[in-house]
Formats: sequence, structure tokens, C-alpha cells
Amino acid sequence: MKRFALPVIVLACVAGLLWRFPPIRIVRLADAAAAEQSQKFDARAFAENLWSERLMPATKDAAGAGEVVTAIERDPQTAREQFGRSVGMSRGYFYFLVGDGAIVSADGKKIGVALKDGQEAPDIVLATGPIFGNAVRDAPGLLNASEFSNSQDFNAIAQELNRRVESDVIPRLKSEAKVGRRLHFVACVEVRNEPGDLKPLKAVPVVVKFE
Amino acid sequence: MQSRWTVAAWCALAMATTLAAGCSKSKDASSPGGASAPGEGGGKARIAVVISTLDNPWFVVLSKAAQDRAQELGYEATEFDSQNDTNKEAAHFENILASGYAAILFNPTDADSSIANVRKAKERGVPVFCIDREINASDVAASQILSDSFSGCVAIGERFVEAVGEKGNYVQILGIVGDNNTTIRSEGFHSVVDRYPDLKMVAQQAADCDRTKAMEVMESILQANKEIDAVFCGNDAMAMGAYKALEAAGRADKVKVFGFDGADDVVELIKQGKIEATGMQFPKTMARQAAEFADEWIKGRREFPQKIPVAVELVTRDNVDEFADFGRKE
Repeated sequence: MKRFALPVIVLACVAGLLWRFPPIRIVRLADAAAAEQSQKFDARAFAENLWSERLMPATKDAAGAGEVVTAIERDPQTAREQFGRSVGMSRGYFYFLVGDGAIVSADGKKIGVALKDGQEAPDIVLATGPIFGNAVRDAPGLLNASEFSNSQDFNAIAQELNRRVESDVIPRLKSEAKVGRRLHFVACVEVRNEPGDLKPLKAVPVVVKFE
Repeated sequence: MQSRWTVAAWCALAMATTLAAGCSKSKDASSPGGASAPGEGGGKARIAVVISTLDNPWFVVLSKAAQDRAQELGYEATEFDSQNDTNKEAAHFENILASGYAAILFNPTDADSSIANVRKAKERGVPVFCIDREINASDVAASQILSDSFSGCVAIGERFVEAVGEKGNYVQILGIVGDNNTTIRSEGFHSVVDRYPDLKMVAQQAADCDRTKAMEVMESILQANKEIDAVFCGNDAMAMGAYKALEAAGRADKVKVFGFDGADDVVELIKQGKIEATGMQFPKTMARQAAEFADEWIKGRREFPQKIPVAVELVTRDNVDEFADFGRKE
């Protein structure tokens, strides 16, 4: 009996260590798949939460569209430094704008808004077609690419925000926009190329209210 | 009896120590002595440049720019070619970590499989700066300077619809099946083009990012499809191959070709109006930034942005004169 004591003790120690620090774990396939699914990034839910909880409150911090347009006319570089926002390493940049103006043009894909009374040429064109690009995600400056371990999640957020604009903002804008009508807007501008993208500014609306 | 208890106790202790070491936290990469200081042990500090593949000229530019900048900053730079093989990449890392390199400038072969290599480097106190392609982890690389291929292909898609119209037949030639970049570029392009239901993809085939294969693929597609308005290729080498096939078939003036990368030969054909557009990546910008970050790390900086997207710019006939030599003209 005594000669079995040592091996039993050693085996018990080994068993205890293996129980405490298992070298492998067996997980049912269904459980593994469920765990993976639950960890998968839900871009739509993220974008919806971002829109209501952070983007809408942030509209009060948008730069005055008139002020920015005037600054661009004076010196685009200074305007960029003062009001613009860049992401990563890029020649392109963004503006997050709030303003009021009159509709001076409307076709199927964009609506031109002049900020000064009596002006015929638009200062800003609001997109009303399919929305692409990163303006809504990046112009307000609410997100940082470093927060996402997979850049495709970051890209998916941009797409979901664009879909939100298409579903919540553009239908009303298209149906009610008429030349001469005044509106209040909050919009996200992406400047990819100067000077072509500066006059008029090409913007994606996130808030539109008709007077 | 007492000696048996002693043996048992020592066995248990040995096993516990072995298992605990395997489960212990990794060494902090920022701890002192984690990276070789310049000049330590004599000679210049060394920086490793690990590239996914040197078969593609674009990556040769990336590697050379990284090496050149590292040398300008006073380091020895050594190039390692992973040949698109995660096993070779792992072997390179083992070699690099055993050889006392101060930093690694890394172009990963795979966003998930490459994480383990970077983690090993971090545990050994060697910083890794990812260039062009990411790894899907935010806590192992010192920084990642990444080409924003998705947004670049969104821009290509927008230009595609503008140039081709909202109705027509097109072909897509993919890169390497299963490769992250191939997927990302395709998704960016389709996120735009699929919104136009009258734009029909009549053929989609992979050509492994290879010019000759792309030419062969396009030749076959042209024989099967008489009505094609455009072709989007996942890189410029394949765009050149597709163009050559169209030229040989006498259809080059009827089919618009779109590529991605910003290679000199495609930029020249855009100038001539023969290719419609490409997306200019900036390999030299990314590589130089990575080398400069490595230099800053070696000199003591530890905080870097984890992910830095580098914009891909659309090159068309309207702005082609602004670009040359894998970047913008100075």
C-alpha cells in the first residue's frame, strides 16, 4: 500500500495542475459559433447609437457655415487649420457645418444652398443621391480609427451612417426642397481636392429643417 | 519515506513552475532593455523590413523606401521576403528576434495569422510597425500605418459609375482569393456599384494580382462576353494585363479599365486616355513614416497612434499630371 502512495500523490498533483491549467479546452461547435457571432461587430447598432447619442448632440458644436465659407474665400489653408479636421495621413479633410440658407438649385442628386440673401450661386450643395464616403463618420470628429482592431468595422460604420442619412434625412429633403425655400441644416463636408471641392462645398446633410 | 515525499514534492513543484510559466503574463515591451539601443555592442542598430512578397513591384518600392529611410536615420536595414507564406513569415520573425534587431517594419501576409508573430516580438521587447496592411489586433503592434484601400475603392466605384453610367456590363478581376486586400478592395468597389442594379457584373475571376494571368483571364472573358463596357481590376498589374488583352482583341477603345495601386505604367496610360482611373497608394509615405517611428521608439518614445489610415487618392485624366513615381510630384 505504502509503495503506491508516492505515485498516487504525484498523479494527484498532476491531475490538480491539469485541472487548474488545462492545456486544451473542448467546446461544442454550436457554442463556439454562438460565441463568435456574439463577438462579431454590429455596425448597424453601433451607428444607430452613435447617431442618436453622440452625433445629434454634437451638432451644437458644428462650425458656422457662413464663417467657414468666408474663411475659405480668404485663405483655404487657414480655414482648414481653423475649422477643418483630418484623419490619418491625407491631403483630404472634413468640415462639420451648421447654417441657414436659401435653396437656389435642385436636381435629382443635389440641392444647392446659398448662405447670403439674394445670391444665385450655391455655397453648399447637399447630396440627395446615394451617399458614399466617410464624411458623416469623420467630419464630427467623434471616432478614432485606433479604437477599432479591424478596420473593416470602422468602414462598416461609415456605410451604416450613410444609410441612416439616406433613410432619415434625404427623403424629406428631396420631397420638400423647392428653389427659393429657406432651410436650416447641419452637414458633413469632405474636401478631397482643392480648389474643386471648395466652391461650392459638397456636403452630406445630417439635419434638415425647413423654415 | 521522507525521500519519497521529497521527490513527490519536487515533482509537483517542477510541474507547477512549468505550467505557471506558460500561463504567465508576457514581458512588457516597454521595459528597459527590451530593444537594442543604437551602438550597443558596437556598430549600427539594425532594423528588419519584413515584406509580404517581393514578386509585386509595388512591394519592392515599399521595401526600398523603408530600407532607405532607415539607413538615412543611421540604421542597418535588412529585407525579408515572406513570399506570401505565413510559415516563412514566422520563420523570419524567429530569425529576427534571435538576432538582436532593434525594430521591425512589417507588411503582414495575413491580418489574423500574422498577429502571433507580432505578439512574439512584443514579448521580446522589439517594436513592430505595420505598413500598408493591418493586423486585426490593437494591442501588439507599436503602430500601424495603413493604406485605406476600402475608401480608395469607394472612390474608384464612384468614378466607375460616373464614367460608365448607371447601366452597363462589367467584369471584375480579383487578386488573390482569400487575401485580405482582395476582399477589402472588392467590398469597397461593390459598396458603390451594387447600388446601381442596371450595372451588371457579367464575369468575376481571380488572377492572383499577376499581369500575365489577368491577360489570360480577360482573353477568356472577352471570348464569352461580346458586350462589356468596363473592367475593374484589384491592382494595376492586372489592369495592365486586362488592357493588353483588350488591345489584342481590338476592343480597348470600347471598354473602360480601372485599376488600383498607382503604378507608373498605368498612370502613363491614364495620361494617354487608355486607362480610366486608378487609386494611388503611397508606399513611400507609409514606409518612411514607419522607419521614422522606429527611430523615435529606439530613442525612447513609446506612445504612437495605433492605427493611422493613409488616404488612397483617385487618379484620373483630370489630375494625372500631379502624380508620378508612386506618389505625388514634389
